[in-house]
Amino acid sequence: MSHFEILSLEGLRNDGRRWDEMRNFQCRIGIEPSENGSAFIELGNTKVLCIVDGPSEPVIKSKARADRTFVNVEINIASFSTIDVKKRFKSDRRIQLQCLALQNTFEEIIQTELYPRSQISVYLHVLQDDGAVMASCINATTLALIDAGIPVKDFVCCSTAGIVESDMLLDLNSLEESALSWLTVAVLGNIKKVVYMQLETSMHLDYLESVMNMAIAGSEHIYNTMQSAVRQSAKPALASLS
Amino acid sequence: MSTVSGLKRPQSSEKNHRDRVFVRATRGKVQKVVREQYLRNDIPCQSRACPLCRSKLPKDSRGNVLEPILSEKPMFLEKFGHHYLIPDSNIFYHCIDALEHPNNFFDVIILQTVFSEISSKSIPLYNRMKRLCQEKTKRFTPFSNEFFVDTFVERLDDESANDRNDRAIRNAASWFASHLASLGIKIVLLTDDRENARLAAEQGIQVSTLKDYVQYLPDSEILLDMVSAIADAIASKEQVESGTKNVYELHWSMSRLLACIKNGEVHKGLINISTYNYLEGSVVVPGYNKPVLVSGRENLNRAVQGDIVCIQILPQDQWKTEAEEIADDDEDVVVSTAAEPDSARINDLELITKRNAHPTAKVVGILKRNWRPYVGHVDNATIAQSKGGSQQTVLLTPMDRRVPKIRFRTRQAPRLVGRRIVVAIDLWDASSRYPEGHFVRDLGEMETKEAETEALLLEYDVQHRPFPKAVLDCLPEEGHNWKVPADKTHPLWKNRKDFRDKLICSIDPPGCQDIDDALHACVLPNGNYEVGVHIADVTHFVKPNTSMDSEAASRGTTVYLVDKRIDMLPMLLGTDLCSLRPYVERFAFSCIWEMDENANIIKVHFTKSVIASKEAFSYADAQARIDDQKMQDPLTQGMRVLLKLSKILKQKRMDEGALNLASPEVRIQTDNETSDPMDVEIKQLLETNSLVEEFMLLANISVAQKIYDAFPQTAVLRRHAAPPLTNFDSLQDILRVCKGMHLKCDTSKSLAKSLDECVDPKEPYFNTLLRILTTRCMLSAEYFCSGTFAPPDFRHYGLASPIYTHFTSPIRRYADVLAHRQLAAAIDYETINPSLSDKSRLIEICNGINYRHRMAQMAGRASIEYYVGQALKGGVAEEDAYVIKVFKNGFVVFIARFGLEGIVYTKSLSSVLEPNVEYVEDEYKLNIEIRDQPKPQTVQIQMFQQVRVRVTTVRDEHSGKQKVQITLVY
Repeated sequence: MSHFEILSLEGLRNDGRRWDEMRNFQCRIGIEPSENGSAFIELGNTKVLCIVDGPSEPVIKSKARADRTFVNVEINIASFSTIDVKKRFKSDRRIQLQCLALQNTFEEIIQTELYPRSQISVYLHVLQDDGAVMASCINATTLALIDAGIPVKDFVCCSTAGIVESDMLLDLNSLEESALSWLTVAVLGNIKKVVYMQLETSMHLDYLESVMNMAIAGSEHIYNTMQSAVRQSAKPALASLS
Repeated sequence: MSTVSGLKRPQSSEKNHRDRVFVRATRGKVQKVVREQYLRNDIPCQSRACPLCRSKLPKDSRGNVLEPILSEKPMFLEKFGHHYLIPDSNIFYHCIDALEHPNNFFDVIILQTVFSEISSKSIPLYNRMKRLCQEKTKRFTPFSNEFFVDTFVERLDDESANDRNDRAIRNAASWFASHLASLGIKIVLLTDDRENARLAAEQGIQVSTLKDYVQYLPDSEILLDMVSAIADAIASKEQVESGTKNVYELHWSMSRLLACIKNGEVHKGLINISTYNYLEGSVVVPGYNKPVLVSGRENLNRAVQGDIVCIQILPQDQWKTEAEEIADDDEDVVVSTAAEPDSARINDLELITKRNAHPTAKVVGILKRNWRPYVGHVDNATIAQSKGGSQQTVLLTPMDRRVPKIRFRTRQAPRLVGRRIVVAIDLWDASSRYPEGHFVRDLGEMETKEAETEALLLEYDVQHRPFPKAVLDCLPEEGHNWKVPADKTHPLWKNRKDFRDKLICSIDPPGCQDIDDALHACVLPNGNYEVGVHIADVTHFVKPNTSMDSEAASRGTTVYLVDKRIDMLPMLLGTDLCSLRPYVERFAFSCIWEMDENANIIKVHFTKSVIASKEAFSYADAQARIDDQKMQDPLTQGMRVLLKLSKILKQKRMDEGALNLASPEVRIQTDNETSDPMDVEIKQLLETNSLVEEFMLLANISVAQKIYDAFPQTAVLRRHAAPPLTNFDSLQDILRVCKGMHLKCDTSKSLAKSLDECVDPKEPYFNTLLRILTTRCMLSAEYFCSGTFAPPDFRHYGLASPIYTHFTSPIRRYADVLAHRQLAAAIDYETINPSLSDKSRLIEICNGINYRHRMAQMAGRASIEYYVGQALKGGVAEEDAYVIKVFKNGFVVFIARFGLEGIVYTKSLSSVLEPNVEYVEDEYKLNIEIRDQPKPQTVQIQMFQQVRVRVTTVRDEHSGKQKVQITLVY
């Protein structure tokens, strides 16, 4: 019957972070050389793998557009990803909604008019879920698209923030996510425009703006890490060019 | 808008980041859990003396720097030097009372390891430790040693969790020692564990047991008494272990209990000890429509009032009726551990087959203890005078009659005679007749007003410490000079109506200082009436999420004692700024109705306002003014309108089936100078009392409807559930036998009607008496959050209203503060604060204020009871009384003039020969044959009978305490 507190008297969270600290964020690009594009993201214990295939000929012909490409997203949540070992199906309504949200977000970012009558497939594998899954999926997709060499307008960077009583917290883990109200926000890395926002719990309107700002600041931090990772991975390619 | 300043980079080196992996079993499943843990290097040592850690001080999300706590010049002792203390978990677990002592133990570091060990053992204790850390004067600080890279320890392969925690504590202590060495501050590790102490000493840490440490402190004698009996017990356990005989049956093991609850062999429930007999308790168990009785010391098997117990039902031939005998106060006093055969105290269990036999049971185990500190006095007979200053074992007689005597050891026994003291129970072994405890505090001499009041407040858990500075800081800066801004364009006037020209007055009890309601009425041009109820706008001053708000929430209500008032809000607000005093302008929250001739509501309107009360009446003054036909000014006429409408409203309410229940309310007349009680009088009710009451009820109902419409899930309402019919069973039976009457209790309406009909022309007081007894069958009303019950259950049974809340006394009740905030949001005056739309939080608050409300009521009653006793002191009064309960060896009488209940023992009826008593159970009757000379006679006592009693006070030899004694005059 241990007692769980979100912030200790000293202002530390249950994993030892302070309110304004993110978990370790690591990203690796091109880890699957056989695929068009791939990326692997670790945010603390949350681990997401993304594979991008395409542009290629659409599998479902009816979905093809004459003027642009379309993005097909599939999320596969591994049954061992959470503490409760549970099989999740692709037909799960929540997963489908998230796929759709990702699809819409990235169709805005990818320069779709360059590849008419074609399809870009994004396969996301959630290997471990310790909070901020949707945010990690978005970050992984951005990197994998870049790895695949598909022209995008900007980085899409995403992070979460929440509020307990009146204390704000950045980047929640799964324990915290289940205990308080929180928000996922994705921004364009360069121009800081919000392109995606998701709130599944209820949050008082007074706090919304400050929590959003917090999440945006977190996204900027992720942007910096992602950009240096991209530059790092591009180095061998650039070297071979010159 | 807030901006996020400089996010810190994560620390990503391998060393500082690890996963905690553990396996847990929930609901039959085994799960592997992986949690991250970041080890930091920026945790400050919290010492004000330390220049190194100054730069590491963290900020919270509102930008406040968390200042270090530990003093730069801590306590100095010859043996240890200037030092901070690090107690281990067991010290907190067993001896928190000593650590909480206000004049000892400062500069204490509570390690995270200790916190987490305690939180898994006892949440209340954990909360007490947290409170200690928040108290600025004690300088207790938490230290997150598990997140600190220098103090973190990994559990070794062959190490138990306990050993690892001990090692973590030692590591942290040695880190502190070396960290603070240059500053000349030492560390003392407090532990009673010998092995731990040895290992610590090897590491070069100063270590001491609590007992040894305390000996160096100035108040060592008191503190030593506060060191729990458990610590001693653990120490001596190794030596004794066997050889003592068990007085009680051993409790079953927890796993056996749980298994037996599942298969129905035993039942669990909360035990309620009878106030008349501390050796009899009852447990309400599903499956039995009557409470299950547990009687006798063996059957109770160490259960204490309020414990959650497991009971096993006894065979049917041992079932019996409720409480046939009253237990005497003066029990045989035995201090030795050896078990004494129980003397003739316990009823000789006759085999009775009775029509209303209760099932009986015995306690086989205790799931959850409800121990708290108990107030009482030392039983003088147990103190050995000769022993002087050495330690001895004495017994405490608790104030609460339902609690058994508590044995504790003390070195200050002679000094404790005649004092009110607090003792906590530590353990109750099967081999010990009494529970064992330790001394906590001395409240002062018995029978003095201060000590008795303090005792009362402690017994009923009333928060009565002075308001801390943080709360007082929330008050307006202007203090008593605060005024409503003259300029009507001032932001405070926004959305506020100007009612200063309305003829508003307040009617309250004489001498009332916290006036929270005022009224007005006038005739509208269309012939209808405009009626306004104006309530002090407390929420203008008490904003959510301030320390004043949380203090008010934790106090829940103002507590009224006879000579003292424990305020919920600071004086400045309660008696001045929020009090709707006459001739000054005040902010108010107004509820305005338009009513027709028959008091039907045509329109209702709520608004924040500014009012200026024209007069503050007492009930009697208001009555006199209304009755005086010479007064024809508009204010008086308005009051007449109010009175007229209130009578119609009352009639309507009665027709709906509202209950008119009586409770014995008395007023203590006190001497103005010394506030010593002089006389007792029954409260008088005037028409003006009911005038105010009716409009307050109306306002509450209107507000309840409004906030429920606006917030169907989270409105704070008040409900009063209909009592189950079985509650009336025994009363019905008594009525049938003694008076040949019957109550219809299926609805409140029929109950109200049949109560009116139950009149005995020969005994005019009988009806009131019956109403008092009926009230005792009722359930109590409670606050709740509208989302937790279905709308039909919102009903207020006593008031016969489908929905109800408390709105009219925000100065003295926290529920009203919540209702004010919700109403303000409902009329779009302000946006709702998040805390008021969070259902789980509101449920928590409601539970809290329900508890406080109950406790405040009981404290108020106990205070009156005490003062009635004081008023009677020295005098002898003969009074009329009524029999309200009959036992085998005595009966309980109710003395209407004092609102006092008392026991008359049959043996007190004669002085020489004990009277022969025949108890006719079926008729609730005692035939007492008095054999004393000069005139032997037989006295009959029956339920509801009027008797003449003599009330005196006597000095109890054991306690040296004044006791009210009631004897029958025949």
